[in-house]
Amino acid sequence: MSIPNWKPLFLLAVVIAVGCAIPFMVRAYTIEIFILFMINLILVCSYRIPATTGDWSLSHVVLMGVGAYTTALLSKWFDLTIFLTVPLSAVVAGIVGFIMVTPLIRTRGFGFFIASFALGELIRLIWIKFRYPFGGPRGMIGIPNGELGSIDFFEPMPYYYFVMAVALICLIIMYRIDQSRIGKTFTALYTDEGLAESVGIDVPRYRALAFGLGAFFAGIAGALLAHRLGAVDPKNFDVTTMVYLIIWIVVGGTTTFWGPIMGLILMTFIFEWSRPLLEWRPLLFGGTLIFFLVFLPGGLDDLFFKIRNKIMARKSGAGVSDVAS
Amino acid sequence: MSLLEIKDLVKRFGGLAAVNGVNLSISDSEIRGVIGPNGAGKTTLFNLISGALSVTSGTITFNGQVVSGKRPSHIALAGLVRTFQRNAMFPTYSVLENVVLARHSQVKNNVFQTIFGRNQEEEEHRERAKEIIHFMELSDHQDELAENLSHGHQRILGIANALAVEPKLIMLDEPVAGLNPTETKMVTDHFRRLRDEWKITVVLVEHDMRTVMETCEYISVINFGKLLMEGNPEEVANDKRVIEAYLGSDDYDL
Ligand SMILES: Nc1ncnc2c1ncn2[C@@H]1O[C@H](COP(=O)(O)OP(=O)(O)O)[C@@H](O)[C@H]1O
Ligand SMILES: [Mg+2]
Repeated sequence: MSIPNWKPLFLLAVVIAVGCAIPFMVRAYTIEIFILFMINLILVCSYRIPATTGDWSLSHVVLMGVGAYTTALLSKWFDLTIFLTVPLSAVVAGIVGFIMVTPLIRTRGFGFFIASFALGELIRLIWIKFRYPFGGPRGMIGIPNGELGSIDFFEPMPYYYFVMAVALICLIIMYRIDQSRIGKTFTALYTDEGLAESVGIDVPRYRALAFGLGAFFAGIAGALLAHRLGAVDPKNFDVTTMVYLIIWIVVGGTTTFWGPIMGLILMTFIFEWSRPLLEWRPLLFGGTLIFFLVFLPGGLDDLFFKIRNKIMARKSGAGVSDVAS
Repeated sequence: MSLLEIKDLVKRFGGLAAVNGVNLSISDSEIRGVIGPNGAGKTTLFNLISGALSVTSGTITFNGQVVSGKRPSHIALAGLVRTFQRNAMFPTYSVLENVVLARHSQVKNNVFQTIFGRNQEEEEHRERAKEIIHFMELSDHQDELAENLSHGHQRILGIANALAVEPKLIMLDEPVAGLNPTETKMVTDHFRRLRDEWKITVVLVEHDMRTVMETCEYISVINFGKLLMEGNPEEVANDKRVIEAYLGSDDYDL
């Protein structure tokens, strides 16, 4: 028998309790913000998976779009329930991700960044050019919101709980990936590719795996978004959205699983508070990005650990001087 | 039959033939030295054998299997593993985690089992990793971060990571380069034990003659990308051509 690790379980219980209470404490409009926040949470955590191998792509929101379009087609044409469209969209996005990464794997760094952008735009072009079945430049509308028995997910409250459940499952799985040998292998192959290969780690295969896993979860985020908006629009998945995603992850940092989450929380607050300053927002976000790139290149993640280390060092330092006196 | 067989191996970088028609044959349970002055082509030879560089022409056969043209990770799976001239390790992980990660090739679980399983297997890998760390006398540093180790210990960790692959043959690229005499002794002490206790064939590539003379039973000398001569340490030390080759460079220190 192993002793259950109570600390993360306790944390999880608190998060679930707070998450369940939120809809009763805020207005309907704020519930919408929380729904979007949880969708973005899946997205930003999924983006970190390939980022840990050093692969920063510019096509991640396009893969989210693949999930959204898949959901739109499956629910409009085949009348599938939301409980099928979400996992199937993930699978389709994951497969598209695998296909996309096959040529990308030959590039690294900046080359990867630009090539992924080109491939992403190619997919977006297909959506725009093919009115049938993708709806052309205007996208698709009339996607059902989904339902569970007699509960209609058009209402913010039930959909909030649905998204919360999906987000929790996704985050727990992504956390397990991060803590498993696979997650450690991703980081390891990034820190020393030559060494990784020499001990038998097939680096291209693992980079492809990371990219595919990221695409899989991005597909879930896309499916949840499509059901909420009732529509998909190719503009939702363009490079502007991608820039937001990059800002979240740069602000948060990628060293640990919690970095992107911290980044998203901070930037969501800034985003919501800056509503009255609408035209200043790009400047505000650009400024924040530059601030983090220049002064905190490791993101909040890194800052958090530096502070913690300082406190621990001071504590142990005090301990030593106590003994000395 | 020999374990590693190299035939007419050539590697050109533009006009320069860094390895120019080398033939080598290394049998099971040998401790072979490969020496030569700086720039002779030793590291290039190494990178060719381990698959890090593609060959211009020639074949490399390991354990009856042609490995030239394969990826380094596939060659490692076949049981041929190399260490690096630099300190190569996963710096942000502990010594134990390094060796566990390096056991990658031994992992049988698939992706789903790794993510969702209870990971009995992981426990077995940790046990074996501890054995390897113990064998390399690194147990005292097991939980230290690799980046905080001394140079000597980092080199030893590099060898432990290679051993994690459970190789038949290990190639060490200048394992004592840049180490002080104490550290050098600490590292070289392990080479014979690898062969004697774990039956691993060792290929030691060095430009420091003394280390090779003390450790190896048979030595191949390389100069200008070609095999100059082969023989036991005594023969090599007394060979005119070898002395000349080393005199021509500035690191003659016999
Ligand atoms: N990647 C490369 N590109 C061009 N020339 C190289 C490369 N690697 C090695 N060389 C050249 O090949 C020769 C042999 O180098 P190397 O194998 O590192 O020698 P050694 O390890 O014996 O000191 C040297 O002249 C070196 O400059
Ligand atoms: Mg060298």
